[in-house]
Amino acid sequence: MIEIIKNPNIDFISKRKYGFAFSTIIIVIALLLIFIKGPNFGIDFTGGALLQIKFSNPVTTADLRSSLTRIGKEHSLIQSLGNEKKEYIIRAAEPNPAEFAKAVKQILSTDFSDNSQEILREEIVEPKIGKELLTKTLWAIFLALVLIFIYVSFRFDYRFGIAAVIALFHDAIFTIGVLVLVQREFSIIVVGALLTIIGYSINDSIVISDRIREKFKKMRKEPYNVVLNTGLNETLPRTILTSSTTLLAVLALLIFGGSVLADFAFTLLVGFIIGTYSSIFILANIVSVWEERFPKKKK
Amino acid sequence: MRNIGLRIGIVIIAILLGIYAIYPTIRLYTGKNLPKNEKVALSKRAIHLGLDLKGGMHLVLEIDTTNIKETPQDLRDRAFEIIKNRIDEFGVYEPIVEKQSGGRILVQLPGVDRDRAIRLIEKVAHLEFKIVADERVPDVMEKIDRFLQNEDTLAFDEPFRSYIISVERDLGIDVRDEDSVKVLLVQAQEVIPQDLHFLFGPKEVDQGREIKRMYLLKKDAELAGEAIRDARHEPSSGQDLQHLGSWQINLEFKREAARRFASITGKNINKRLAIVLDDVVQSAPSIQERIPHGRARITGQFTAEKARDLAIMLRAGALPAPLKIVEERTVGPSLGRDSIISGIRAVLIASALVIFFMLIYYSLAGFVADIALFLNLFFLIAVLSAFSGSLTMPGIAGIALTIGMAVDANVLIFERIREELKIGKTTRTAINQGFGRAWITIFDSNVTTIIIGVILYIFGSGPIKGFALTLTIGLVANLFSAVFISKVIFNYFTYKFDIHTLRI
Repeated sequence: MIEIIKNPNIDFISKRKYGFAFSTIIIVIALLLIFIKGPNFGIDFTGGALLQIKFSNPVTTADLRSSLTRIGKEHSLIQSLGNEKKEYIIRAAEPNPAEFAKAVKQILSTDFSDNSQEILREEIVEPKIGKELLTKTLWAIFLALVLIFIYVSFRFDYRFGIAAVIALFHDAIFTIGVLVLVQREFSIIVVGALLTIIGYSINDSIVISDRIREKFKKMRKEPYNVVLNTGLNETLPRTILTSSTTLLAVLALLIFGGSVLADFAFTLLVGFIIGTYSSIFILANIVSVWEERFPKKKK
Repeated sequence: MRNIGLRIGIVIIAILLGIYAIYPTIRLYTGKNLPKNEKVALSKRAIHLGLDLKGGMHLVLEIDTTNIKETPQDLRDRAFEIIKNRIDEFGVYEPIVEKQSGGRILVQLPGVDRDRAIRLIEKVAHLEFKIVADERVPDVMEKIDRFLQNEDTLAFDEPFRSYIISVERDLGIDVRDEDSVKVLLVQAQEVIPQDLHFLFGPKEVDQGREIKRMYLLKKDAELAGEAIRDARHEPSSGQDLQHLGSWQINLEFKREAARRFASITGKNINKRLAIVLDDVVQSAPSIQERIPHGRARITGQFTAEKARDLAIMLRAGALPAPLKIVEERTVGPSLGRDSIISGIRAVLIASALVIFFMLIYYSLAGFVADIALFLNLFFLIAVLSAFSGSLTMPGIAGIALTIGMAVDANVLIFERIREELKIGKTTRTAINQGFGRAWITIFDSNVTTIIIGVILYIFGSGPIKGFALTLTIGLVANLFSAVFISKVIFNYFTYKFDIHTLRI
């Protein structure tokens, strides 16, 4: 029988200040990034156009930039895909995206007339639609958080519900911070990934809370923190195993899933790692601090 | 073991149902040279590929209602009929044209020439009235056939007329012959009198086959769509027994046009007047008498729906507001192909990694988890086929993710069984208690993820819906395969072979 950790007995609760300190630091950095640098919103939310173009011969980013400068669109983002220098994404937030896309295609076919181009993907989103999508998306996230809070509070103690939702915010903010740091496009599909992270992180929280609830029934005489610790330790092998299989799947997606899913898979990867961390180091620790400050009356 | 026979029966029935549901999908995507009608029948019961996988355009159109008095609803309905009419003509396989909230129209066209499609959609609607030259049909057809035979001496008799069928009192062609007929018409252009041309009606089903009516029309329009003030449909009035229970359209012309209409109808009594929208003949009623005051009535065997559509098209003639494309997502066919390949590759590699991992870590029990994982994917695809859901690139991501998360249930169960074994329980008790204890946790954690899936499905746009769909179905199937089926397997083998030690 292979075991990752034999009878784990790590005292997570007494070391909670390290967890809190680490989380506070990364969250502050993430928030600074989000508010100072700002997410690299994709055209889904700003409105604009995106062209994914494949040239038959390699071209450089500088060449593309100079072409775009000639039509006054030097502010466009140019992203190279793959190592061959043949495939590029050109993207810009524009008040009139359809005209922008047309102008870009025209200038490229003139400037690179001896280097034929294939338009692999073309997306045009009017700013009005972008605003609607943003509102809709914010509502979706809000609704997801509320429903999860209700479900967890209903199934467990409301303390676990609130702690789980705090852990969710923690995971989401950190993930967005990383996205800002590496300037990945913040598109609708990335929001899908964020919601999935929320779902995944709550999974871990539930498994652990479930076990702690069970332990409370069995270990009535033990101190609160010992019970929390036992729950965490008993579920530790499962937490590590499930994270491993899920991360394997996400890595396969990131490495082999192609350009379309790269942002999605990257977001999931970051979120699942932080989600696993938070369910071990944050969730139960919040509940334990809460219990120490405001002890529940013993029945 | 209690009910083991019944439970095995349930599993077998579920697997058989799954095979039944998946079969059309497999046949559709692996069968070579399937006849077209079989393809159509199969595609109704098979997984559809999303536009991002097969290549195509997703468009959201909006009507610019500035300076317009009419209600957006009515405008949208008219624009909708126009777009539908044009898309049908465009001849792509399985187009989608749908009304959306906020007076918008959603158009999805698989694998098309982008620029041509956009030109077609943005074009201003063109409604005309043309006289049908029925009396000249025999002569023109004779000329065409004689000409074609002269051009190509090998041609059999009547190369043109052999394609023509009769549909009620009209000429018609089988839709499958449409391209050939159009080519012949172009070839024989020089013998078709200058003032005439052939136009077709919309696609319809007549005696079990798809046909289009064909009309020989005077090229010059008698009146343009702008002449119409209003068109409404209503049930046919009572005195006319022939049209009892059918519907009619009341047509009203603008003042100047009314005089022209009176003279046109006066000159062409007993001829037919075709209503042509964007070069498609929508209807060709007979002129029974001179219509003096610009109020006409079109009667015939119209159902309420058909009369309504025709009235909308007549009103659409002068669509006062331009259509604007507010959202476009086009994926070229080569990117779609690449996406399918990389998506399938990612799923296969993810499966291989997870299967291997479980086998190493849990040995024989890991093998059971792998069977459960395989069945999880199998049921996911079966359900998707049964509802002919569409598979998008994020949908494939959802499948990959399902693979990663699906084994969670088995991990939870196995860890429980290990714990029970450690405290000295027998194998059978450990298995039963392991499943029992883990069940509630598995249920709780799946429910929360399903909540997320449902929210994503409701709020998500386009491709994201595909992700939500596969993830949600995958997790529901997970409860069945990872918990129910793997327990049946464990129970069956421990009882059948009286196993007392479990390698887990």
